[in-house]
Order: sequence, then C-alpha cells, then structure tokens
Amino acid sequence: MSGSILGGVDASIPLQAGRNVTPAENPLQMLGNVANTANSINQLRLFPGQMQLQQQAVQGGQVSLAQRINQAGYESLAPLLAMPAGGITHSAFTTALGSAEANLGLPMNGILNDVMATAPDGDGPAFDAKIRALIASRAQTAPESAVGEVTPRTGPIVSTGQTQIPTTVAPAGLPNAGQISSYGATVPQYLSPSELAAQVGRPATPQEAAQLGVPAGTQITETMLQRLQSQGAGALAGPAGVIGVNGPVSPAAPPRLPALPLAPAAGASSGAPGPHAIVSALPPTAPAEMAASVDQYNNASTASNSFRQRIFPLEQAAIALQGADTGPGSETVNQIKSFLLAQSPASLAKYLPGVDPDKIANYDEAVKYLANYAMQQPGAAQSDMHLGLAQVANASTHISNLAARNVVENALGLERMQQAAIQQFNDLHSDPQTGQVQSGSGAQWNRYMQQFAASHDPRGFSWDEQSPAQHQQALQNMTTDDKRRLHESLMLARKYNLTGTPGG
Amino acid sequence: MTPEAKPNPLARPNRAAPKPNPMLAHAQIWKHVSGMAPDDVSKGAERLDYVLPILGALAGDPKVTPKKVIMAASQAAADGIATPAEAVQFITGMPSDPEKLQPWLRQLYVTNMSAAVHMKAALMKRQQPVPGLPPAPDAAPSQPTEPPPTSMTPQEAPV
Repeated sequence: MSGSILGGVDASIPLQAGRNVTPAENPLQMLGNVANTANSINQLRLFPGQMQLQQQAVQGGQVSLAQRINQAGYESLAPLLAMPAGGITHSAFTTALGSAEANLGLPMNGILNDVMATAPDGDGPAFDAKIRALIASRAQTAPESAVGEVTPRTGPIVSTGQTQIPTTVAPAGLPNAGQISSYGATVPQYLSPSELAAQVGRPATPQEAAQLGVPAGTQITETMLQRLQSQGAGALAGPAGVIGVNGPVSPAAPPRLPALPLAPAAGASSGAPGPHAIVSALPPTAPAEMAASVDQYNNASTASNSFRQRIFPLEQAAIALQGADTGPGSETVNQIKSFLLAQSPASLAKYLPGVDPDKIANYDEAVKYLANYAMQQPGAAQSDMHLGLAQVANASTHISNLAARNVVENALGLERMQQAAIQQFNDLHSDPQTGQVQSGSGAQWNRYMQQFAASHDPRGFSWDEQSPAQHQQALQNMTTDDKRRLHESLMLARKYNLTGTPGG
Repeated sequence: MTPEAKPNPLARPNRAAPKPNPMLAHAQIWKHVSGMAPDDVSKGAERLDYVLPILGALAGDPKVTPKKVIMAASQAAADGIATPAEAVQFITGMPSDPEKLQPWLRQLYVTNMSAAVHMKAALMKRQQPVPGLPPAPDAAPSQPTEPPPTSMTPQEAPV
C-alpha cells in the first residue's frame, strides 16, 4: 500500500462503470433487419405470381415441344405430296403416320388431332386436298411460308404474241401442285414504235413458210417473224387458251421455233394473205377511216349542242305554214296584202276584200323562220349562191303549202333522228362510273350510224307533226319491216323526249 | 302445402367430369394394339384400310341415315371384310337416336384411324408386311422380332 496510495489512484481497482447496464443496439443494424424482414414479406406476397410465371414457362415449353414434334411428323409425311392428285388415301396416310411412329419414334397424336379437327371424308379429292394442305403448311416454321404452301404463287407471264397472260403456279399444298394456270385479265401486247415501223409485209420464203406452218408466199412481217421465233407458236393449249378462263398450260406445248435468218424487208405486196396467215396489223385504210369517223362524230356532237336552236325555226315554221298562203306566185300577192295591212288600221283591214291579217302574218312568219333555218345549213353563210342553194334545198314559201309542210316535217324528222342517234351512241359508249363518253369511241361512229340509219325511219321522229290522215296514208304503204323501223323510231324519239312539239 | 325445396345458391356447383386427355385415348389405343397378336394386328390393319374410307364418308355425310350405315355393314360382310355376326354386332351398337348417329360415326372414325396408325407402326416394328404396301423384293420373310404378349388377351379392333 505504499506507492499507489501516494499516487492518488489505485490501478488495481477494476472499473465499475456500465456494470448491470444493457448495452444499446446499433440503430443501423436494426434498420437492416427491418428491411430484410419487409423484403421477405414482399417476396412471399409475390410468390403466387412467380409460381404462375413458372407454370407459364413450363406450359410454353410444352407447347413449343408439341409444335416441334408435330412439325417433325409433318416433315416426315412430305413424300406423300409427291403422289399424284387424288393418290393420298386413308391407307397411304395411316401407313405414312405409322412409319413415322415406328421409325422416328414420334407420337402422331398431334397430327391425328389436326385431321380429326376437320370434317371427315372418304377417300377422294377432298381427303387428298385436305391432307396435302395440312402436310405442306404445318411442315413450315414461318407463318408466311405456311400460307404460301396452300395459296397459288405468282407464275411467269405467258405471251401469246398479242396478249400477255399472268399466271400462277400451284404450290405443293394444292392438289394440282406445279401446274400453271392463267390468272386475272390478260394484258394487250402492243407493238413498239420500231415494230410499228417494221410493219411492211413481204411474202414468206419457202423455208419460213414451212416453219411457220403457212402457205408459201403468205404475207408476213418482220415483227411477226421475230415474235414467233422468240415466243414460239401456240404456247397455250387447253382451257388456258381461252382468255379469262383458268386452266392448266398444256405440257405438250410445241417447242420454240428455230431461229430463221431474217430477210431484208421487201416492199409492200398487194397479194392477199393466205388462209393461215396471221393478221399482224390493221388494213392500210383503217386508220384513215377511223380518223374520218372521229371527225364526223365530233361534228355530230357539236351540232347536237345547238339542236334546240336549230329546230326551233322549223317548229315555228310548221305552225305558221298551217295558216299561210304559200306557193309559186304567192309571194307578190302576199307582199301587197302585207303592205295594205301595214298601211291600214287593223279595224279597216277586216273590211278589205281578200285580206286575212292572220294569214299574212303567218306567211311572213313562215318566210322568216324558213330563211333562218336555211341560213343555218352548212355553207349557207359562205356566199349568195350557197344561200340560194340552201333555200332551194330546204322548205320555203316558194313551194306549195302542202309541199312546204312536208319538207318542214321531214327536216324536223331528220334533225331529231340525228339527235337521237348521237344521244343513243353516247349512252352506249359512256363509262358507267363517270357517265363520260369513253375516249376513242368516235372511231365507231360511222359503223354505228350505218346500222342506225338502216334500222330507223325519219318519219317516226316527226310523227307528231303529221295529221291522222297522213298517218293512215303512210301506214298503208308500209311493210312489216317498215312498221318495225317506224315503231323503233317512235320509241327512241319518246325516250329522248324529242317529240311533242307545239306543232304536233 | 309444403314449399318446394329450392337449391342452395351457396352450394358448390356440381363439376362436370373432366374430359379425358386426347393423349390418354391414343395411349390406350396404343396399349390395346400392343397387346394384340401379330396375326390379329395384320388382319386388323387390313380391315381398317377397308373400313376407314367408308367410315369417313359416312361420318362426313350430314344426311347420313341408319339405312346407309346398315347397307355399309352389309356390304362389308358381303365383301368378306367382316363376318355376318360382326356386322350384326356393329349394327346393334348403332344409336337409335338419329341425332347421335353422326357423332357416333365420327368417334368410330377417330378411334379407328388412330388404331390403324398404331397397328401399322406395330407391323413395321415387327417387320411384318404392311397392308397396302408391296413388300421389298429382297426383304427377308417376315418374322416377329418379339414374341407376342401372351399375358394380355387379344382384343378385337373397333368395328
């Protein structure tokens, strides 16, 4: 007890501080424990979802495995596709399935279920087609490939020289696998400018005639010769040869013609084509005729626009002629009467002998309207001579009243007939969608008018202008064909509302 | 007057029996075929080659009638494919309800097609000639690679 006491501190005495006191926990450690617990609870809450995900993964794997097995089974059935159409029977199908099961160890229940999912069939084309489509499509991995195996594919375009025919090729999944069929509308094959320029006919040489199968001396063109050499003759046969009808291309198509040495183009020959010659171009006069037809159609169409203005004078003249004194020599008398009427009061005119104010007025009116109509005729405005001729050729007051009325009626009938013709032609050649006249229709105008004129009667278009006595007289002299034409004309005039004028 | 007992809305509905898995049906048919004697398998396969197209045509005919089925069975007996007794047995199993006729035929078609596949697979495994296929010219005479199971009673193939 010497030194330590003296020092004030006894180092041998242990520290008593903190004894019997519980040490406080680390707050960070507490927070970590709480977080771990919460995480565990959350994972437990998420457990059902995780289980579902696992189940889906397992099921997806099962589906994928089943698909792979089925696909392998269908691939093993591919040799059935090589059988001829209708060759896949129940016996062949079950044998192929049994082979895949025995040799490859593949369960065939998936394929059988696919077959059972369809309507049962006996042996025949329906069963054959069903099995083919199943095998060809289900053996594919890509969906587009599967669809492509059961739908026709685009095939080559077959040219017949005049037209190009789109085709399709049947894939392996169809009963007619490998067959080429025409598809859709054919495309006209026009001549190129150089080919058009080469449309100079020349007689075929004996060698060319023999190879083309035409008599020697047949008119041919270089274009035709080149096309036959490059494309062959008669590439299509059977049903496909009919435009717009699907059918197989004949496998026995003749081989392409061997190349012929091209002879220099000779001058145009006047010889008629042989019986087997191929028409390679239009007749030389055809373009000019078509152009003339188009011109005439254009003229008729233009005249149609002023139809009402043109027939108005005729209709008024027809009315005026009913109450006018006309005829040779009547001009001077009518002029005197007209002068007296103009100089005298209207009340006095009633007492002038032989003067009928209405008739004079009708006469003047008829003169006016008939001169007006004559002025509208082509060429009338060119010279006095043309005008004189036009007046002579048309109705006027210089002829008898009856003749003038007949001429006016006939002129009316002709005008209406022309109008009916252009309206009917436009109706026949108009686009049903737009109602517009199709371009190029004018080339048919001349041919149409030839038929129209032969099948219609101008009197039918002025029938309403004539009296019942005139009707009776006209009908007495008509044959059955004449009456038919008259009837058609009447119907057409009524259809286009060309009759029923005040003079009727 | 006692009130009619109403069903308890809170009661558990009676669950319909689950449909058997199609795979199970195939397995049963496979087991059945595996238990057949080799000769029976060959005869059965030959018979099914005859029966299947007829069954398919009948099952696919929406206007099928019992008369057509009876005529088909009679024709099979006349062709020697089935005995008259088998034909009569087949006709006897035909449902009397016309509406059930086509489903019955369809089920027969399904079962027999599966059986035909398994029979032909069994024939190929045993290197027996398969009906409808000409034997290979240099093929060895058909010998069963394994003895037929004697423990299982061979059963008649459907139809």
